[in-house]
Amino acid sequence: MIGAFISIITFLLLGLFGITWAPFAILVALLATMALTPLYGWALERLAYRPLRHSPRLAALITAIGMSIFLQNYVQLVQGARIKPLQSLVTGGIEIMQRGDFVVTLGYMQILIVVLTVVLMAAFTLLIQRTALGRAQRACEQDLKMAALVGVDVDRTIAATFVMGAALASVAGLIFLLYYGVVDFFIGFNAGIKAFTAAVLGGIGSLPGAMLGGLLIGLIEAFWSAYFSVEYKDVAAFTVLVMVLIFRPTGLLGKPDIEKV
Amino acid sequence: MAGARGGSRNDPAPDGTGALFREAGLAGLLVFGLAAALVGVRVQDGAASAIAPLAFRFDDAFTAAAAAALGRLGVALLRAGLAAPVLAGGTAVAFAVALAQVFFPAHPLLLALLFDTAMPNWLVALFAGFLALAAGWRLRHAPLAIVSETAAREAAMDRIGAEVQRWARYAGPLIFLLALALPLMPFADRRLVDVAILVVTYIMLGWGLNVVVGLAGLLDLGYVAFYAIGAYAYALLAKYVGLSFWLCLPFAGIMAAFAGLLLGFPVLRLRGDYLAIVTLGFGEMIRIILLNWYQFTGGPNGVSGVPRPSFFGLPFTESPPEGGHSFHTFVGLFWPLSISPTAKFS
Repeated sequence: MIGAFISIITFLLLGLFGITWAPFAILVALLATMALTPLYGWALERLAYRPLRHSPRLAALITAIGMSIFLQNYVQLVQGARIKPLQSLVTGGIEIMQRGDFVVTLGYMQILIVVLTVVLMAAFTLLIQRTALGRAQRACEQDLKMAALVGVDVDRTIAATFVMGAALASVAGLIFLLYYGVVDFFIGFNAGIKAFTAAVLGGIGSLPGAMLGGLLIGLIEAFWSAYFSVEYKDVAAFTVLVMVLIFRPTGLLGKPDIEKV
Repeated sequence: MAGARGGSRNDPAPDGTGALFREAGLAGLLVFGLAAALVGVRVQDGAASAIAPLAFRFDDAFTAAAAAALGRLGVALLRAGLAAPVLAGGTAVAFAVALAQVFFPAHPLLLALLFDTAMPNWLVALFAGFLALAAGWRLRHAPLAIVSETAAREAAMDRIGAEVQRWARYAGPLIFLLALALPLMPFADRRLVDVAILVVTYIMLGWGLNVVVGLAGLLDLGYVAFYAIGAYAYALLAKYVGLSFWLCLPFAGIMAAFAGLLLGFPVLRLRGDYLAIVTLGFGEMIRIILLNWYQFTGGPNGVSGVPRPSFFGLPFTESPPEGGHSFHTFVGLFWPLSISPTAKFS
């Protein structure tokens, strides 16, 4: 949501200076939002999560919900509650197939989204798998205390993770804004629930699992909307989630959870 | 900055004023970065957007940055043991901001210096006053015995908690009596009683949540769905079957309990995040169904005309039905009209 708002502000500012050439505008907005949104991620970690590092899990979760409500209300206060429209920057597409009156087109916008996603996914996979920071992150995921003992700066690693997460989320916000052309302060709620659902469906802590979960949620919703009813697509997605979790309590690709006593 | 001031507040305070000012400056820079885009620029909507798509108020972003830098400086000074300047500065800022806000809320100079809306200004004044108070406390009680700030804070919180529990034994019955007497108070009007009823409703919700999350340790994020089920059970039973409140009361409870059973069977195998997301999903499902099944539930319009509770056929209304009694005329509850709360209710 914050990423989308910073993007729309950047686009409108560029528009004031008469710059509407789409590739340049998108690049500037991408840089601006990836520079400014992570500040929120960092500040959030510093203010709301670090003091609770050693608290029970419930405290951190409640804090997360509270911060999300706080940020939504903050944006609603400073930017207003109405939806903000942006005229589409990228239009047109490639015609793939035509039969009779039905034309199948692939929009340039869709191509841009897929390319941007694939590039970012590759970059972040490399970052997690190959760099020192990624190694530190994986160490912190497994055991905070042990990671600290072997010389990982836990605080800095977690802060860097929040910054990276915020940067990725801001790109998602930019894409949302570009694709749908509207943004309001509440767009993050649904996306957050769906992201969490996808992660749980695939199994928490598994990157391919998260991708598979996201794909499944998207396909279920699309097919359900097409064949049954649009209103109940979320119900269908959650029902499938419950069904899967009954038979595989740790998600599709998740590791069996060993209770640590 | 993240690494330098890493995990603990127990580190010895950074020495030298240079470090203090650097810390304050960094905080100011950070807040300016946070506020520059979202506070400094506002995306206009509606009719205003046709004239200019953006409105600028960078002065507020600068104000936020300055407030953050000053506040951080105060906290850092306090931590370094320099309480006297914090006491002086905090008092000065608190009084200056509060006086400016009270006497010249629309002066152009103050609009430029302070925030444009009152609320954040009051927050600034409040925080400055709080810092000054903390500094004054530090000056009176020399902080020699404090080994670690975290441990001291936790000990203080424990002490406060014990104190609250001791007082609660006496305050509880007193508050209960006050709650009973509230509708009869001369200052009680419709709004106050409504808010008080809402408070009691939330307390009841909190009790229920405490059973699930607190006592059973199951993180149920969809708990509020049962609140909806209970409310809709009463409303729909009354609307379609014509049952009265007293019959619906146990039915609503039973229905919510069955919904809990329905949810509980599949999800109790799950732990942690998995349980949380499934209960969250259950809550969302109930909400979506209630909103979209508009033939039955009325959708976003809700159910209207739900009959109010009555007492053995005596309605709780102000004016009794034609030729009958309402509860208060039957029991003989009357107040002189001048202080009658019901006069203000209507």
